[in-house]
Amino acid sequence: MLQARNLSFYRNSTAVISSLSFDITPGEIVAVLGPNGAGKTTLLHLLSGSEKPAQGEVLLNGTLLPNFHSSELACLRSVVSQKVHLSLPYTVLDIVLLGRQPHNRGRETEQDRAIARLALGNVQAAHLADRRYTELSGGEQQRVHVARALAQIAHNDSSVSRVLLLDEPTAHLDPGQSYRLMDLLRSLLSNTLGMMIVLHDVNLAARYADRIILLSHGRQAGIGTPREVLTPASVSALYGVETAVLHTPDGVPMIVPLQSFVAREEKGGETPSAALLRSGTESLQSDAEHYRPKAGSR
Amino acid sequence: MAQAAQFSLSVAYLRTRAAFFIRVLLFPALFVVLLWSLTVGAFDLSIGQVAGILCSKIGIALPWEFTMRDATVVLALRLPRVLLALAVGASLGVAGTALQGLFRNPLVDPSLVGVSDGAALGAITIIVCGSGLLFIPPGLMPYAMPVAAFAGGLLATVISSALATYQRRTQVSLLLLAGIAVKAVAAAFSGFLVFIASDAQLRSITFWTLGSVSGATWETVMITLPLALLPACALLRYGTTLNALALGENEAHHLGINIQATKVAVVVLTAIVVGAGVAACGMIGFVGLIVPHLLRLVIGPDNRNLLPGSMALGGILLILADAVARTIVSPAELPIGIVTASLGGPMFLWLLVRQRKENIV
Repeated sequence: MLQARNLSFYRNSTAVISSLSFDITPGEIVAVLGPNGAGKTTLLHLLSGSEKPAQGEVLLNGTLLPNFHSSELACLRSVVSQKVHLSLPYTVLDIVLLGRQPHNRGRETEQDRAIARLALGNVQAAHLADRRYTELSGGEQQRVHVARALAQIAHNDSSVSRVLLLDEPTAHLDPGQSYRLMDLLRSLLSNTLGMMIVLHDVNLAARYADRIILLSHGRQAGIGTPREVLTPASVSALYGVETAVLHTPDGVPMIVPLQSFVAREEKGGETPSAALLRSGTESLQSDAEHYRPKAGSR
Repeated sequence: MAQAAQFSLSVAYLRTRAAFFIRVLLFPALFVVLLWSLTVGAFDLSIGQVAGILCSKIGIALPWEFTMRDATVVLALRLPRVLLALAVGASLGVAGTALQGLFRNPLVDPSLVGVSDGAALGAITIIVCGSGLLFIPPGLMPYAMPVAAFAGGLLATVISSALATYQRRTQVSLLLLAGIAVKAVAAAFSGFLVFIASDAQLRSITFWTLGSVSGATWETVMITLPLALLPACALLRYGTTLNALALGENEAHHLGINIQATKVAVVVLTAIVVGAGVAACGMIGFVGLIVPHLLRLVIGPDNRNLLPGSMALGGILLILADAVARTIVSPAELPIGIVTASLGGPMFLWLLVRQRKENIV
């Protein structure tokens, strides 16, 4: 459905994205993981068509992105951003109806309203339709934007595949709301809808993604199922932190950091800030030492 | 649950209908206010007489009696200024709404991109240097001033937009700051001209800065009406686009909207509108700020209703302000800018206090 072929993108003559190639197929969630500045958001912009790649091309259902008319493209792919700030008191239904603009050019029909309500129902937010957007919680707001994105790509013709791109949709959400949102996204997948999600939370990606792309300095550092890609070596290299990979009872990889701050100090390589902190917490130290053997003996 | 959904459907439906209704209702209201304002002034006429005078002009006889003097007062003095107030008020209202939509900020005023200060500099230059330094013959002075004001306004907009555009992309926040800088430079030049101006020139500068529609003739109306109202009508088409832009530029782009074209169009159209308004009747503040605010409280933030509604409400407000300006200290006249500022300022404060409570700014 969505194909990236040999994508490269430069900013001030440094490569932000270097020769990336991958596919997103309907019915799957592809997560993009990588440290800050790895080029995740740029990649999303390239896939959505807001930035043009310096080299390479993006195809949606076999057509090059620049060959789409902008409203035609808007009917096939929609984007959910990290956080949308609104200063005017639009209602939730108004926001979701904005997603219908590429279809109706501002003249809403009863069908558009029905689709908007259906989309709100899909994200379990039907009861919020008449509330002011500005009064909602962060999780509710994010659900409203997912509903808007769904309404945008809702279509009579069910044979055409659509793609939903999400840029760190859980960035401002607590763990509970993050899991609920990801559950919701999974439930929305169909044989004509695929998703690409940029994520910061490795464990969220491990649990909810079908495939994961690891992005490091704009290069592809790995692609495959969570079990294939999330190895201690790859994750440690990606984030520069030593990690171990455990497995949940249902077999999902779970990444935990290994080398903590204390561990590094015990190895002898004391950092200046560690020395500063230690000098202020001398009295606490004895308590900690007192506690350690007890914990070990258990 | 099904019942609740049904109920909320009808609430949303009623609200859209109500907003549409109010927006449509404002236009007859504008017409009534226009007629009424023709009756007030140094001596009073009845609505019937005014209607009779207007209809006699197009060849329809109505039963109300009027004298020749009444007809002259209405047709030659009151009608042009009321029409001018209508054109300027309506277009400032639309321009304010459009710019607030573009900047995604309800505190933006049409003068923000530096238009009014640029226009003021143009006009003041003509007042101070027109006959002396620039050798403009006295016969052309009444034309030179609005032309210079209009050109100054557009020039200021072009400069601030050019400063805010990098790699063919206009940054809205940069436009705001560039506008402030351009305003400051224009104000400095104006200040210098005021400093070297003679007493008589100072008086006309002051009067012009306060704004007035009293100088309206049919000529000014014929020039200003199309120059202000045509771009204002063009702005009406941007309701849908501005709604999408409320989500942010990226989101609007993802909805398939050409952001750059929209920004350029809205800035240029508002600059023409404000330039034409300032050229015809000086600086009139607060209309472009207050009108969208007031209307948003009643019919919500949907720009498709807000733009036409603010056109009608802007016209109504400025016609009323003009009626106050010419009756309150009759037979003298107050500059209309004083009326709009003294009504608009407190009204704006009241709105702010109200919205502080509701937390919807």
